[in-house]
Amino acid sequence: MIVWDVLQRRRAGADWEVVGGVKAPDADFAILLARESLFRRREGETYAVRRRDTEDLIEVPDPTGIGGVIDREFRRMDSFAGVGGKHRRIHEQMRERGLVIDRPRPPDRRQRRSAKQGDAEETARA
Amino acid sequence: MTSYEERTAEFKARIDAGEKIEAGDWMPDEYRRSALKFIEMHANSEVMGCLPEREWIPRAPSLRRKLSLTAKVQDEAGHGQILYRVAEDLGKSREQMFDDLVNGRTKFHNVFHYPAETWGDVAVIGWLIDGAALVTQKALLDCSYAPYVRAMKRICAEESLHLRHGEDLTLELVSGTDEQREMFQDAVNRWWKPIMHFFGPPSKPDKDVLLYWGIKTRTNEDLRQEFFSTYVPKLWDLGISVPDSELRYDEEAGEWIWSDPDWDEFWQVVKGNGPMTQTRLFWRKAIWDHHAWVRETFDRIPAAAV
Amino acid sequence: MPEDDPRLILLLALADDELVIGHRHSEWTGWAPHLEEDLAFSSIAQDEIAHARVLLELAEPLAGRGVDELALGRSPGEYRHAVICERPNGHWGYTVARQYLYDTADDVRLAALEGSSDADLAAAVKTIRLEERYHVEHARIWFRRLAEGPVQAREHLSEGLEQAVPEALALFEELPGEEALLADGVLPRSMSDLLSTWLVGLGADLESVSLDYVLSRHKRVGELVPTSSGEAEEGSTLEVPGLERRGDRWVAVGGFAGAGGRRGKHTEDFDELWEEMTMLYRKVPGATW
Repeated sequence: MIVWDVLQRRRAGADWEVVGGVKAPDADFAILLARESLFRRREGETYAVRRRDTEDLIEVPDPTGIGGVIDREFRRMDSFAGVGGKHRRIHEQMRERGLVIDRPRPPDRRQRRSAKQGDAEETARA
Repeated sequence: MTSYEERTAEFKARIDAGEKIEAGDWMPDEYRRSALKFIEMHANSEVMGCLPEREWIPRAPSLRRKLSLTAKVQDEAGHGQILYRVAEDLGKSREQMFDDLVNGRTKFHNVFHYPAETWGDVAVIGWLIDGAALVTQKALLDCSYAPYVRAMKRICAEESLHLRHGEDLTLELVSGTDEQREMFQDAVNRWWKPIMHFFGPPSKPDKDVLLYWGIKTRTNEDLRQEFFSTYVPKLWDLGISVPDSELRYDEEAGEWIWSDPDWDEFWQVVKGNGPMTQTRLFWRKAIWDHHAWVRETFDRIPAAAV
Repeated sequence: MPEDDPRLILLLALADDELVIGHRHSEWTGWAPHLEEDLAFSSIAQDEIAHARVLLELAEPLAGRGVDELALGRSPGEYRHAVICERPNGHWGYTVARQYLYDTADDVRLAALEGSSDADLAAAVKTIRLEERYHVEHARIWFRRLAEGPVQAREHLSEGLEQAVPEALALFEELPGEEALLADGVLPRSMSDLLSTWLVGLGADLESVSLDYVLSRHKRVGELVPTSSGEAEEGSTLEVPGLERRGDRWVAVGGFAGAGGRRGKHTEDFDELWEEMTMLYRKVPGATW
């Protein structure tokens, strides 16, 4: 079967970059299969396939609708915004109910720093 | 001409200097084999990891949860797609990898050999299992094999979303009715041992071929300690206990003390004798075998115009 | 719930079709027979469920019940989807056949509903249709590939079509209260009119790959409706029209008789689906998840 490299263009005028590959019998199928495999969050403004070891780029005919027209909030980080605050609120409730488990744990400072680091990384990647 | 030994030494020097290896670069056979085996097992785990969670898609208790769980399992399948492609370029076809997987010739992570009994399991998988996975996957961003690193960047970004999804499910349960809290606590009790197994037994760094080649850069124990520090205080804060009476942070030693989680069970699971191993492989194989015609449809030149 | 409000019935019929077929499609997630297709089909499932959510939001004020309550809190007889949506996925040939039939039929009715006098519905349908284009494209590429592929693939497809066509016709079963919907333009064209449009396209597609024998074999049924377990129950749901080629097109002969999905009549396949889909929602009353 034919291997197709899949390329995306992040924004109009940007360079094409290879972001993955699919195996498919023809270009139509390759474009169909690449779409939800690699662009379901509309990672680029458009994408194309290229038969491996050839030069010809075959662009998706119409990128409208890729990643959804109706908001796919459940695929986005910010749809779970406030999880940290919710955690703290529930922690307070549990404290009031006397349910919190108090066992030796790493010092707070270190905990806070690593939590902060984690959040920053998550934001950067999102 | 340069001898194999000389080239291997040059290659090892590149790795030690922190250089990244590309698919087209020369590499020692041992490197290729180790990287392929490691990435193949990772890909296998992504697709097998779909199975416990997908069982709850039809039963999700709201449309929002149904959508986010479907999208989450879809992402895991997507990670499989990306990783198999990376592995293929190391010299083994995806068809062969799938065939080896469904016939029990290759392995997948131990945590996916267990049943997902309740919605509490969905929360535990989404938060703690994915959390454990993310700890190990972030460490792979330093891997010496560049195509894998590029794949892991995307995968880690999506996993961070899954983690939020899982924590959100958790918070809903622990702040809900007594029955919901129990559902979560019960799931933590059942999953703790598999999570400890997930990081593997404490290993000897100097014997680890993956560390030698820079495919992995951190030890099992190092990663397990990071998992404890990130998640255990959060669980305790929610009033959720962990079924290990020894577990505590020892300030003097600067590390967590934990008790031995029955490694016999771990080795049994690794050998393919986990509680759900055979059932899950049976269904994967059934679909794989019954739909051989779909693959054939892709492979063959179409019949003459009808 | 004001059960006889024709607008509510229309919205529920549309939403339930999307919800129930989306539910079935989502069952492929994680183990479809081909990895990239797993991803494609999962997105289609998510689209359909998301569309159901949009339509149920429109139904909410008419029903006086919330979206999740409508989606997961009704009794089986209150669901108004066509029976084809509730059938188990079976093999990939049936799955492709059903997706092709459903999404081409859906496209015909959505095209009409873009002109609905109900502005909210018309607007929602316009957006939904932008996403449905991909479903039709997906269905057509697979349909053609299987039809023109190795003989085994072709057989799986034609088998799937033979099973699905009679029940696909019932997507156009007359709606309770349809006359009123037509009179005030909420529904711009009657279901039987939409059926004729769909049949013209279906006939042409099947003839283009020489699979129109599927239509010739379809009999007007006072017919036995097979259940998924292979048993036949007499007239358990609905009699659908027969099909004939007249001139250069395929037409429906005779009308529907009896009551089908639009009147809440379903098969045992839906009992099982409903049981599973709603079990956790029903388990802890008043809980949020």
